[in-house]
Amino acid sequence: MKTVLSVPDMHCDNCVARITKAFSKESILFLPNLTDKTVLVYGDECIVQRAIDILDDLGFDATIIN
Amino acid sequence: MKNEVYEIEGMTCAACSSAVERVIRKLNGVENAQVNLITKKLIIKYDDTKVTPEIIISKVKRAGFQAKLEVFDQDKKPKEVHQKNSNDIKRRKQTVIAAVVFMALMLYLTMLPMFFPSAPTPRLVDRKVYPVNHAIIQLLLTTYVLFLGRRFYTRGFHALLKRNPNMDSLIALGSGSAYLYSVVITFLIVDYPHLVYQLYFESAAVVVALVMLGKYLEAKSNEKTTDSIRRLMELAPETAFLEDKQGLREVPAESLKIGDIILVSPGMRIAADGIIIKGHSAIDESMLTGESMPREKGTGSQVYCGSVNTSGLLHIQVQKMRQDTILSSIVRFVEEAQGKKAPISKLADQISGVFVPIVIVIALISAAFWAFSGKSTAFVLQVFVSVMVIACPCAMGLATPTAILVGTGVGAKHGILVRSGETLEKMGKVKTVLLDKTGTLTRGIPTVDTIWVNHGTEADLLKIAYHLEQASEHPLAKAVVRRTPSELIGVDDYIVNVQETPGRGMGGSGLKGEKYLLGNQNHLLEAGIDLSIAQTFLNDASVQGHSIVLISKDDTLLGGISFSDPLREEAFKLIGNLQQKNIKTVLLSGDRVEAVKTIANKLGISAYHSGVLPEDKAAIVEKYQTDGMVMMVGDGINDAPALALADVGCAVGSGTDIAIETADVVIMNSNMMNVAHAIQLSRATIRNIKQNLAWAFIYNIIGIPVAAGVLYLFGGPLLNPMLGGLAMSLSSFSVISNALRLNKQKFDGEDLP
Repeated sequence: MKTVLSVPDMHCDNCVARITKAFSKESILFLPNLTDKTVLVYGDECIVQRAIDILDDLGFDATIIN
Repeated sequence: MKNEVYEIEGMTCAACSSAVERVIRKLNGVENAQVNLITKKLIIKYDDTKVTPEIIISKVKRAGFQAKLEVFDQDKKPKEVHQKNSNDIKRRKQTVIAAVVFMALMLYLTMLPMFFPSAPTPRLVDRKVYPVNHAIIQLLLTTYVLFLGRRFYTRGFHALLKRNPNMDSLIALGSGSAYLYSVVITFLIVDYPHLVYQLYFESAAVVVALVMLGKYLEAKSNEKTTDSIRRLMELAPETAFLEDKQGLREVPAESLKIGDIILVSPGMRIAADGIIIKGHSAIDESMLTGESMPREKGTGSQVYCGSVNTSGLLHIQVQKMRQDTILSSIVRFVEEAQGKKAPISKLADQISGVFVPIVIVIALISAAFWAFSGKSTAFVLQVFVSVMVIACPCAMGLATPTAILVGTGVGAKHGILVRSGETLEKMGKVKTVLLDKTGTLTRGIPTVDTIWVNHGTEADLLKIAYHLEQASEHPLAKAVVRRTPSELIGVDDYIVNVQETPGRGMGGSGLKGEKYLLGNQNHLLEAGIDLSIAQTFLNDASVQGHSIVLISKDDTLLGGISFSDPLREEAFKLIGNLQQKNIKTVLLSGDRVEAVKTIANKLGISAYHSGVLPEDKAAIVEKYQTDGMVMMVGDGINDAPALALADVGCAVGSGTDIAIETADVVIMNSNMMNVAHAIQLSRATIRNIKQNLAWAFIYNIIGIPVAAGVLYLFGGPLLNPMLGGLAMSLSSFSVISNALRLNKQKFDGEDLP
């Protein structure tokens, strides 16, 4: 199940790097996209919620797009 | 309420600082928080019943940054060498301490009255008043010391009987003779009280105690435990995302089978050796190749377990089971190699091997001489024993450890971290030095080599390149940024909408809508740019093993930039120095043969190996080991097996953790000349050890004729314990002083501070 999260505060490469680091520690399958300012997440609702929490911990607002 | 200031590391842009602010302000109990990107400070006011510094620091850490409470200057802790305290060494320490303490007691009883007659001695054991008691006390103390050192007797006599006497044999004979002789004398003291001055107990005790001390120091200096295996294993991920008919789930990496498909996110380590079947990305393979630059890989490319996927999402088909991966074979190599190295033969043992028979012969001859001269049995016996006793140098055990102690200290002062005393000795005997190219002879950091201009000026090209590359973390991008002089840096929005496409390059738009591209050939080809003019530039770079980027504006190819990994300046000096020392130098590199050949010629190295894979390096080490001792200098994880197998593994301080853990000696700074200095230091140390041994023996050798009765022939004395004691102290003092001379060691082209 692919879910796309909109993360409008993703400005720069460092943001992507932080997101990458945090997600890879969690073993969640994801793909950040700086151009679209989105993060694609593979998983069920639990995982998506976890992803939102992680982004929140990093200081990003995240909302589900699709 | 507390007001505190924290230093935050890792913030690069306004988004980062506002992220930290957001996260901290959300904490319950935080009244006010402000983050300043420029000063890197977080100023916070909080209720300390609800929030603690630990909470603050961990929150910041979870956001991906580092925080520490602002305090006065913090010292940087150097890399700590892991040391396991084996029970063995601990127990030994206690034994040695006991022996030395008892030896000190002995010396107090026997020697001190000679130099300080007024020193207090318990009347009961004063040898002038109660000689028998005195003798008994000496006997008791000495017996305990010898008991503590019983290993000398078991090993020494064993070697002697095998006609292969070693240092232990010499100690056993010398101290044994002294002890037995003194025991006999003890019984005679009742009737001949003056014999109390003929006791040799303290010689026995001092010899045994000092040699025990020396051997303990040596063992301590050779104590080297490494964590390299554990660290290597940490590179292999424990789990992986398996995709099959049932969907996507996380499974243990070791359960993966050939043909399984796994998905790898950016930032994750790849869990198995395999082929990419979908996706493209730049893969960090520094664990394999030592190359710090991520390699672009796409569908059909090979990837390896333990390497890091830096950007795209990859679908990978597993090709090898976990234990067959290259990483596992590296681990196996290192494990094997660590058990293989041969210890060096001890100089002291060799000397003893020759010395012991000579001493026995001299003792026998002297005894026979005096016997035939009609002297009493007591006299003959005394001569015999005296020769045996005086021949035993107590400082012998101190010769090596003291030199090594000082030697490692000198090395440390120069940033040469020698991990074991044995390494310090081995380095001087090295016949061949194998040098890994990337990261050791070169800095491992790409720099701009050539700028090729097809259209426009070089300045324009560089300016465009800078603005396209400044936002990228790619090592080549950083190289461009470093190269660009500040006057070329234009306004911030000279190029906008900059985007990075992993595996391809950068793109952006100019103020008038021009379309800029910077990247590899594919990047520009896919946009339809004609690259035929660039062929010469591309070929040149390819032959030299240089990476390139091409730059285009709209439909025109503006030019290209090639990057090289330049040699360190000291590399030349180092090679020259090593060749002067008659040491063979060999270059190892994974690069193509043309590139390696060019570098080898530049440096003046005659032997080189190109296209070297990690498993090859160990084999190359073995090949050169047939000529003598081999030193391997490397910095990557892939160098670990070679570093472990080589007689001396040398890691450069800026290298990977694993290389540092596996190596025997680490050069802590970037001065490659320290490799030559290390060898020089080792040779100086070996010289010093030999000098120390000379000092240890010389007084005793002078004493042998006296013991044999040569002076007696001319009306002089036979050997007595006082002379023996004198020899002991002089030799110990000389050895230690000489060892300290090593501190003054100067290195080629250097002045000591």
